[in-house]
Amino acid sequence: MTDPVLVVHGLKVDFDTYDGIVKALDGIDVDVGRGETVGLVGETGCGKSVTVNSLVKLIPIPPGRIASGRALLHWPIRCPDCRGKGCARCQGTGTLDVCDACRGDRKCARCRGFGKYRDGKACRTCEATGRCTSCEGSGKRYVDLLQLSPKELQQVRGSAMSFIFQEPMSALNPVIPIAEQISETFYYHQRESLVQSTLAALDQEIARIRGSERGSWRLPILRFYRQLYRRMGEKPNSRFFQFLRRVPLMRRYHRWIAREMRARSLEALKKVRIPSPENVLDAYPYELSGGMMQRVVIAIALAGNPKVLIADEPTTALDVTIQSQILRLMQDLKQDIQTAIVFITHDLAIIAQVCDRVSVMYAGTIAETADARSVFQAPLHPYTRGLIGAIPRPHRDAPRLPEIKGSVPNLITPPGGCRFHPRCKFAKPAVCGSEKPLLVEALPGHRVACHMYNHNGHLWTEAEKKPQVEVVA
Amino acid sequence: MTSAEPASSEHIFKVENLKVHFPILGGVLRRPVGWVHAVDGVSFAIRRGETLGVVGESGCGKTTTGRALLRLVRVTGGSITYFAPAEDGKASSPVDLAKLKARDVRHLRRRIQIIFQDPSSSLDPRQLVKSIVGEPIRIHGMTALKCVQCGALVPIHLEAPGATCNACGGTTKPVPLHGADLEARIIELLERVGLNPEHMFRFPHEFSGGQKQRIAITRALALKPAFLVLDEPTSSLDVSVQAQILNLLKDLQRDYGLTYMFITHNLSVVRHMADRIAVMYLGRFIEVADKRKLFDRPLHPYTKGLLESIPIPDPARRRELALMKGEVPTPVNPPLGCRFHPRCPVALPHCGWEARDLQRSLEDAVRDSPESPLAQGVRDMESDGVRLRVRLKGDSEAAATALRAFLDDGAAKGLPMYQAVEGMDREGDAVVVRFLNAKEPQLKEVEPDHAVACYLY
Ligand SMILES: Nc1ncnc2c1ncn2[C@@H]1O[C@H](COP(=O)(O)OP(=O)(O)OP(=O)(O)O)[C@@H](O)[C@H]1O
Ligand SMILES: Nc1ncnc2c1ncn2[C@@H]1O[C@H](COP(=O)(O)OP(=O)(O)OP(=O)(O)O)[C@@H](O)[C@H]1O
Ligand code: SF4
Ligand code: SF4
Ligand SMILES: [Mg+2]
Ligand SMILES: [Mg+2]
Ligand SMILES: [Zn+2]
Ligand SMILES: [Zn+2]
Ligand SMILES: [Zn+2]
Repeated sequence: MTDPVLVVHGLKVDFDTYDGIVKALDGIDVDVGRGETVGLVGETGCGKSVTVNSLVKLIPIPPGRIASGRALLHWPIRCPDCRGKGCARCQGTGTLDVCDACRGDRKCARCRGFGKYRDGKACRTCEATGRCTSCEGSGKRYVDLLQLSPKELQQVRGSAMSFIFQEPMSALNPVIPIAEQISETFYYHQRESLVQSTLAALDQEIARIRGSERGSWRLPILRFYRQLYRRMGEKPNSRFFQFLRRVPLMRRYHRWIAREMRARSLEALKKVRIPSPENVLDAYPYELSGGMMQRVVIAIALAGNPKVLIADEPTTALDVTIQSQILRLMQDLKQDIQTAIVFITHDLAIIAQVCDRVSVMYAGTIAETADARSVFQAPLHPYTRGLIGAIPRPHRDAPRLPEIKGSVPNLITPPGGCRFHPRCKFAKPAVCGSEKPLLVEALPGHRVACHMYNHNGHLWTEAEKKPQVEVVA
Repeated sequence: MTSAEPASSEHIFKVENLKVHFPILGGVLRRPVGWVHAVDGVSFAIRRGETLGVVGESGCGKTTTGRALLRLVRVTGGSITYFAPAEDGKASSPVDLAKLKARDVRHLRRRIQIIFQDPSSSLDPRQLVKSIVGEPIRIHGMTALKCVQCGALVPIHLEAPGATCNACGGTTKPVPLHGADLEARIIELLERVGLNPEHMFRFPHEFSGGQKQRIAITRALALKPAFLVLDEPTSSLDVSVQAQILNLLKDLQRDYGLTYMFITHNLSVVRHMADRIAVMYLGRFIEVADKRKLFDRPLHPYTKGLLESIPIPDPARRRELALMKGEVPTPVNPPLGCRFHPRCPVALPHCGWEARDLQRSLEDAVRDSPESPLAQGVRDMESDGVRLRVRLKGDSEAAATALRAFLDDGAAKGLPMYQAVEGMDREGDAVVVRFLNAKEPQLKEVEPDHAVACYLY
């Protein structure tokens, strides 16, 4: 993938439980391109939520444990030398976007890009690819989310990456009006630009009063406010202003920025096409229906202009007609804003409707990753073939649905080798039960983790390997 | 309901004008302050051996309709005639379940079973599977046909008076089920639904969701039911498990001659399972049709919207999903006339427009342009059925003129709500806007096996 915003590689997550260690994720690879919608499908408990939640430590740790892996998020920063104005260091762009490890030359720091050492041993750091592991060989500035401090993660959540969950109610505070909840996002993630527009509004007001006779007694107060906001612009994260918000009388300065936040909140609600947004601003969450609440949550999630929006079953709790409103909304927003979306669901029809690319998960592993069409029309992995076949089709009659025999394994003692092998009708005990298939590119852009498509492929006939949806005789 | 009803004998249920209203209790005395019209005048018939699918959005009354057939809810009105299929050669006369005493319902209930969406909550977590399945068999005093020679039981679906032993062809006699015979029966059923005999000695929490649903099905089958209400039996299950359960249900229907009422909000699933489909909206059946007719040529505007709202599991056939405006209104105070009219894209003037609809539009207009003469002139509004009382302030003449202009403007644009305004009267400082009185459209058979409740037809 050229230019990914998010690259997850080899992610392993365990949970220590009373019964033993749940090996929830066993080496997950996902990459998400700029503005792309990637679907993550799989049956309940296969690890879809754990995959995305562990990126920003939303899983409980302990019992959870991130055993290995990296999760690189493209994150250029404002040039510290010129503070965004443009200088020699940032070549006039105002942002720094160069990998800290390889300084842009894209080569692995261990083997210097050869992929192996002089004695011929393959480099294990870069898995013999020779590419820089801190930027996946792109030379751009990435951060490894799994290595960030809680404070840095806080910054990532809500600005670079935001989340929408199944239950909109859980994302909203029931006792705070909607307006305040949206404003909060702006206050924490866009304070600088908020202060800029507040200052502009203050300047305008001051100019207006100067020009007329009336209300000139307010001038000193407004000038004082302006001073305050300028200070705030210089030190946007100072605790002092948080404190000032709670002081009687002084609190009034906050009105100016609050007005600005309200205007932006209104814009945000209009963007998600909420009918009569003014009313909704002053409503409490419980006064809204599920579909409206989910739209508010989407508005909040988009408020920080995230690069990656993670939608974990955003429509599962909603009705069909409301679901289609939300899906339409997400499709339209996708075109307006350049946000990449990771769409998690177990409903394959939704995936088919909205996703560009699909990753199919099975029992903590990625079985197959490809563009949506290939996954639905020419799936390679035996599990995907069965899964696609098992969907009841609204516009086709079939006497019986093809089913996958057996049930999902328990993850404390998962089957060795390929985790699907006890249920797979193509399984060859010699390899499938003992050797874990890695995700390899079987066709251009189509990656699959099955021995049929790697160096063991000769064990299967061409007919067996033919990509197809399982059809029942 | 429909005129072309086949003779009753081929039916198992005939429901007429069924109403189930739940009280909303309020105040310190817990008196009803309102009613939830969960099911509000539903008529249908279920034929023997068929599957009637019931689809609709959350809260439209699907579950309540299903539960009414088992008398698990108090029926407010209407009749539920149950034609019990003959059992052991004994036929019984039709009964009206709605009028039956609770005591008499209980023994009928054995043959009418329900399977719920959430298998975990419908199984007692402290009981072994053996007693979950065995207990109801014991309570109902079920018997089995046992071979006098080899001691084998006749499989439950082959039981008939005078049946001979499957294993040795010997004669059989009825025996009460307990001890080894009971276990044999439970094992027979568990194996039939795809579980193993050793599962008998496990607790529900040791099973996956799909397996729990199989246990719930086993328990129902043990009572030799004639009719099963399947209330979203696969909604909490994954696609591949769903396929297993749906296939199982189809096989059981064939082997045991069961009749199903299949409740779901998943249109793809209902298409797979049902023979006929009823579309429910806000306590009413708005379209009942043969499944193929419904999917090929839906008639009701709501059904059309619903079908266009479902994503198709094929990226090559990606399409614009329908945008149905608004959300499902509450069944506490359903819209007048056609209940779908506030969301209907092709509504007519006589579809039931009422004061509440106009009040909503006026409120929007007032908010959108607070400086307009209309906004300046409206003090408050009060909806009462088809009459909207608008109290005016300031220059009431000007305000009344502005209001009339607003209504005329809407009518000129061809909006059905404004065309439904019958008249406008002055009452002191208020104006009363009257709407046409509209009746609710009734289900009408527009072609064989296709009934719809809409004024377009
Ligand atoms: N806090 C925890 N403690 C122990 N195990 C956990 C915990 N959280 C998740 N798991 C395990 O991790 C696995 C993956 O769970 P996850 O929630 O990611 O599944 P999912 O794919 O999102 O499923 P669903 O579709 O039901 O949301 C499951 O087997 C689950 O049992
Ligand atoms: N016991 C009850 N007391 C009061 N109101 C009830 C009761 N049971 C159901 N209702 C109300 O009756 C209406 C219909 O409910 P019902 O459960 O039949 O809907 P449904 O179509 O099955 O919805 P879902 O798809 O969400 O299961 C709802 O508005 C519900 O709130
Ligand atoms: S690796 Fe073997 S068991 Fe696993 S999916 Fe491929 S063929 Fe089946
Ligand atoms: S009767 Fe038919 S046309 Fe009129 S509102 Fe209802 S669905 Fe629409
Ligand atoms: Mg999940
Ligand atoms: Mg229900
Ligand atoms: Zn610079
Ligand atoms: Zn690098
Ligand atoms: Zn290297």
